[in-house]
Amino acid sequence: MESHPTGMATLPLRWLLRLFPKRFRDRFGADLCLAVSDRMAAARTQSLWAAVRLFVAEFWGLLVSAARMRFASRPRTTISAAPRGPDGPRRKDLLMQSLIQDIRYGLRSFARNPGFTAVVVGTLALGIGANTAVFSVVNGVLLKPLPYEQPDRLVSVYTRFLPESGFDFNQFSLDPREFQDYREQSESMEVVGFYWTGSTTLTGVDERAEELRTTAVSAGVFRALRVSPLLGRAFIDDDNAPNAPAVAILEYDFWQTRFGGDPGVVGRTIFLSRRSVEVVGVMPEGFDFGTRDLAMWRPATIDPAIPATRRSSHYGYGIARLAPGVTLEAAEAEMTTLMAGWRDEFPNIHTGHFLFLMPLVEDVVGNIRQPLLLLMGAVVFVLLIVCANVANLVLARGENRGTELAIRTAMGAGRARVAQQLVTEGVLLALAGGALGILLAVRGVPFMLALGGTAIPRSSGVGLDLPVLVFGAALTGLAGVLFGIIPAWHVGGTDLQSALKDGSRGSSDGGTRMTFRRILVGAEFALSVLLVIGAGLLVRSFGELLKVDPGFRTQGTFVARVSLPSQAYPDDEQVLSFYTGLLERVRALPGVTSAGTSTWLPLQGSSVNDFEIEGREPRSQGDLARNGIFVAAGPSFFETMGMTLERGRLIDERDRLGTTSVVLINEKLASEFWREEDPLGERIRMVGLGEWATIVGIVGNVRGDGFAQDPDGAYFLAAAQTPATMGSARRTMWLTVRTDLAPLTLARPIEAIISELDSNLPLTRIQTVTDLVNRSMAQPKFTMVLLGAFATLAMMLAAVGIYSVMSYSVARRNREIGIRMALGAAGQDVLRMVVREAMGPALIGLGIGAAAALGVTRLMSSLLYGVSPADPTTFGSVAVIFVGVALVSCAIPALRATRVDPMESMRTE
Amino acid sequence: MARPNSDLLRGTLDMLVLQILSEAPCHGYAIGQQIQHLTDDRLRIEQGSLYPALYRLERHGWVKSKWQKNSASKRRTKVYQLTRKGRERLEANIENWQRFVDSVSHVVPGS
Repeated sequence: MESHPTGMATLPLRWLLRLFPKRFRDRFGADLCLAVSDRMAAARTQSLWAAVRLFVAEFWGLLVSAARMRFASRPRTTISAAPRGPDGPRRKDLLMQSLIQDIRYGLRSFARNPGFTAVVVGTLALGIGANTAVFSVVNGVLLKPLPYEQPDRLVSVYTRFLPESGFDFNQFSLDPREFQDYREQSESMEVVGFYWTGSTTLTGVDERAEELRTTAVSAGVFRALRVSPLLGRAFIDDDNAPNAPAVAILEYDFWQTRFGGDPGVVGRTIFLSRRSVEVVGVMPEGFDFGTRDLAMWRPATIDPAIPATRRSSHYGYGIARLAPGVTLEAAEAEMTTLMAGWRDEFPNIHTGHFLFLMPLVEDVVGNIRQPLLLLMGAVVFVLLIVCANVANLVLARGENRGTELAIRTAMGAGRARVAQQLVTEGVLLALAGGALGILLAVRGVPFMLALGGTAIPRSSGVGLDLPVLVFGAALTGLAGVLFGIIPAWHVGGTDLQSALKDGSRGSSDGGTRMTFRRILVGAEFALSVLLVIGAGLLVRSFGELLKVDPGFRTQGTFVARVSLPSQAYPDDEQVLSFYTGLLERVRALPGVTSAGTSTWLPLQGSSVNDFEIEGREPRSQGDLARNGIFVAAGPSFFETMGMTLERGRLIDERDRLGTTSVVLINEKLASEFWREEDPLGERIRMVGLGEWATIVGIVGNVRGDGFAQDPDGAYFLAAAQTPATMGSARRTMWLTVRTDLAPLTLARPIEAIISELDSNLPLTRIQTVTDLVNRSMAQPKFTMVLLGAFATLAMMLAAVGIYSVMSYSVARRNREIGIRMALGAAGQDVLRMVVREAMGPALIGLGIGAAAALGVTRLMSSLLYGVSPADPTTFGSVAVIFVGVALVSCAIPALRATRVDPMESMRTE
Repeated sequence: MARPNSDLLRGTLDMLVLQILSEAPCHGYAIGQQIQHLTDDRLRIEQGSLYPALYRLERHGWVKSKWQKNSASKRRTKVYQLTRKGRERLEANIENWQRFVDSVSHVVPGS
């Protein structure tokens, strides 16, 4: 679609060519354009930043050269123009000359008013910059089509559990049997694919052992996405068979970095978790379907031996492409019919549990859509405030220039000519502001992306590309026209005679203009009140989030993951003794307070599994399902994470294979399933696995899925007893270490310990618990910081607006104030008068803004935690702040008014 | 990248362009690249400055141009080449320049 991006980008440059003399343009214009677009194309291959820089340089260069050539060649062109034809100089050339004249004149007058120019250009740059930056994120994340063929035909398949099923999951993964049935029964889908994410350890490429993120895909996934491999072959259905030879397809970046882009990699054998696997293909650049930082795809093997009635292992996701001519609505209708059939066939499973479809783009963009739209709205408001402010300044300036313009008119300039000059000046201001704003955006976008971190999907597609530049240019153009037209329109109504007579103090028709400017200020106030209330709610909500007790300590804990391959550690004994040895050595490190292992960490996702309670009837339909997050935890895990013990005891060294199997439950689980009874001493076991374990303790709840989520029920089995209680030892564990040192300084020594134990084992996902917390807070923080910044900006602009209007008003009423004081008004009276005048529009704006906020903030209630969208504290404090801002910003002009010397003010007239 | 003084550049640019064209006829894009290349990236010439220079040179009759069809890209490009007058001018220019450099190096030690 973007076949000629650089051609489009040179469009403004081509437009600039019109500034050059016609003779030059005729001879060199076409070639110049070609050369510029060649350079742009070359720069584009380097980086976008290089292209933007080049664009700015060329733009400026053309502008300067054009001006230079015009002035250098003017006498010659006018002389040679006459004999050119009977019509004399062409009208267009005349217009061009007057335009150059206006530009020169405008630039000179800006140079004379550096303060005015700086404020106008600066605020415009902030407004346009903020808009361009936010739009570039919105464009890259929300608007750009997904990088697949006909992406709007792609849908994700999920399941839902309504409470009547005993569970309550709005969006859940699929069981492979559910996928297979849907694939066979659905006629509205061209292809249905199934995938899940995992990890593996790569060895045998070089010295390093490395943990990789992988995605297991059925052959249908690539077919649904319509992506073919760059090298080798895609997966075929046979690859998904249980006994098929192990194969893998590499991701492009991984192939480049780890295999140096060697095309001979196809057919090569690598070792994944110490099993030999053949590389059969490489996918094209930019294709990374499945998970973040993915390295390769492997076939999703589904064991056909498992009967169709065993359909409660939800671990995969579905992706499908609508068949030609089938709408999403039709596919959904078919799904409803299919699900009714499933419910009849498997009533104990599919009552309140069914599959549903969701457009893929919605799935990818998910929860960032609302914050981004909120921010987009906010920056549009900021731009409106900027425009109101600049309009105010330009108006004030226009009124001060009344005499100057009147003289120009008297000297023979037509009204159109004067208007042309004002429009030119407006456009110049806007161009400067726009160019600076786009530069601000160039700097701002990486900052925004860094702030959002993993909370922003598709962030690699965010950048200042063509649509974004066009957006910025369009804003600039709009602003320019606006600032040109407002004063020009006012000039249209100026009476030449009175303007000359009155000088700059003409006050006869000042009334309506002042009203207009007060309306502008009131509107600025209303908009910024709205923004500050929104930001205030987010700040309050973030504060509530920080106040939440997550149930674990968020500081001073090091975490990392170890994964033992089953090839090298076939026996449970080996696994258990490895982790015992590891913990012993880690605990001996200096600075380590305690160390533990666990299959689960808060904020890292969790697995839920059913359990049964000894002596109770199996659950009947509609009862709360007996399930919870299941964890295998080693000794000291709870102490290390800072989780609290409410009753009983924790898991410790006594709990080994051969002693009584034990389990801890959390308070949530205890309150759900042991309302009257005492859970201590009762026995539970995982459904379908292992032996009964005795509940020996109750631990505090942990917010494992994010601070804003209510804690889930969880049960913790002793890691050393998992061969008995879970059927096998757990090979992949999180190592958690509490320390007084900076946690990450432990990484080196712990890696050294691991490689002593097994040189082929990588220590992966090294981080601190603080990192986990920060990541889970990234999205609310992103929204809060940006909205906060924009709201602060809006508030400052509104303050500047009131200040400038009141300064102007005091200046033009100098004489009136002088007379009042001569007639006996005290300084206090004058002060009161000015403040009253300023507070009028401010209070009205405040009222309108707050009323609007009451309506609008409800839309953001899903972004708020623990705060009502109509939170009186927020509304109240914002009102107080804004009254304060209004008072402060009119204080200086008001004080200036009290110092008016009556004699002086009347003498100057 | 240092931004060269624009007045210094203006006279020099003409000479640089003549110099480059004296080696072989060239199109506009390549001239800019050559300058950048020959000066080790220290001088970057915007096309907006280059073309007015070409315009000046052509008006003096030192450079002439013609449209050529590029067989590879099937695009028409304009190729500039030095005229006889241009070559004389360049030689005179180089002589001037040499004299200028010599005299400056007498005044500014070590340059």
